[in-house]
Amino acid sequence: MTEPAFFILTALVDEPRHGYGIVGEVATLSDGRVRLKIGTLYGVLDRLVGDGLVERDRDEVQQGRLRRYYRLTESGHRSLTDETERQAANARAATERLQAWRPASQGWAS
Amino acid sequence: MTRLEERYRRVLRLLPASYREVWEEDMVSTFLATVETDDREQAEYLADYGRPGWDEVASIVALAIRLRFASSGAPPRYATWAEAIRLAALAGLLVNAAASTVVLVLTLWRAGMIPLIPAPAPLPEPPGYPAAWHRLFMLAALAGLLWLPAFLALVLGRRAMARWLALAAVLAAILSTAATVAFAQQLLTGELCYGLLIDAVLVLALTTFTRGAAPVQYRSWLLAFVLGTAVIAAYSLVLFQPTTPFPPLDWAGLECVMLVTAAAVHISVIATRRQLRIVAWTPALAILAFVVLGLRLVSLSDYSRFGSSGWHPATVPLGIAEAVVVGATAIVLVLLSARTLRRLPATGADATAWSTSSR
Repeated sequence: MTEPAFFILTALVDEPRHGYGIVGEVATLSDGRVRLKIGTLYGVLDRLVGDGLVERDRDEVQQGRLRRYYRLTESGHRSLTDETERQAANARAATERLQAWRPASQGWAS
Repeated sequence: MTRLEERYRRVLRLLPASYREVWEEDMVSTFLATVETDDREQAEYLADYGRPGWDEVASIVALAIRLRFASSGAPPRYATWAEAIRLAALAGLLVNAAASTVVLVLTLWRAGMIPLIPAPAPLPEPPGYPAAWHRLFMLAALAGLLWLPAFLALVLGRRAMARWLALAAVLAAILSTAATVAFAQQLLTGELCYGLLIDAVLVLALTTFTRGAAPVQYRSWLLAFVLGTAVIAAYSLVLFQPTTPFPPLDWAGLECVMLVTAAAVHISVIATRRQLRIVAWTPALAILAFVVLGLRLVSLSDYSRFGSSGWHPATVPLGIAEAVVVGATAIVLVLLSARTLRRLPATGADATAWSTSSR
């Protein structure tokens, strides 16, 4: 799962959101590190809808503009849970290695 | 509609129409929301003079490229189209590799450089050629041999290596063509220039062999290489006889025959099998048909510009007939491709409905 797909799914966990809402939520979730461009957002959304991980929730019209909301499907929820567990396991393994590792120069000094 | 919206919609035209049908309104709405501001004066200025930023445009360009050429994640219609480009590129690489192998072996043989096999009688010297022409043509034959490792690398999965080798082969072809034109009085024919142009396009087409692209079926392609080399070798042995005139079928004519044969076989096969690879061969052959038609027309124009002396008197009338047949084949293949591709979903959302309904 790519990083934008991961964040988009995460942004939809608590409530359905429209495109702009997803962009803002992803920026918040990633502490401003991931700023989705429109082409990236809709490229990923099209794939997620195609894979059945996200579906259309409702359409609203605000100030004459269409606002289409998207929500996470059951399958999307499962997929995000699996990915989160995989990433957590990876992070644990890396953390353990990093904690056990001491630079060679430090070893000589002690 | 504001000027800014117009400009953004213009950028969105880069995307396939079927994709825009599903996503355009939503994309425009989201884009305009990202540039909204509470400052009324600035909002008016942006509406009139604002333009989508280069990073937004780049994201749309990247999406347009991915939708049309990407291997994984692209909707079936564009995945098939991308596969067709890869198949056409592989076929082009195969012809270049087989032809350059045959040319090098024949050049070495005629120069008496293949041990145990006696050299054939020398060909009649082209009028006005300087003594260096043998060496220059040998150099060109050696440079052309770069197509062989490029083809083998691609077939065996070394895609980056294949791209670099193909690029080197094109550069070598340009240099050797320039050398033979400058020093061996080789005519700079349209066919030579067209060949170089197609080789350059071929290198660009190799960029569609992305990481997600399906692996090349190496056994089939290696077998095709052996068959192609045998056909070209047999033709070359007939062509390079020390007797004149040459046979009526020139090189472009041979490509026409190979293309029409392949199209006939394919059309008879698609009636029974519908896998992606088989389906993708229809647009692939349509691409190849236009490439071969271009070669045929350019070589006919060379005959009218430079004369066709030395060739069989039937070469030009036969060439015109070949152009007509290949043109008709190209039209049939385009119609079949359009019908096939139209049936395939063009967006991820459509693909879900399609796969559910076709189960």
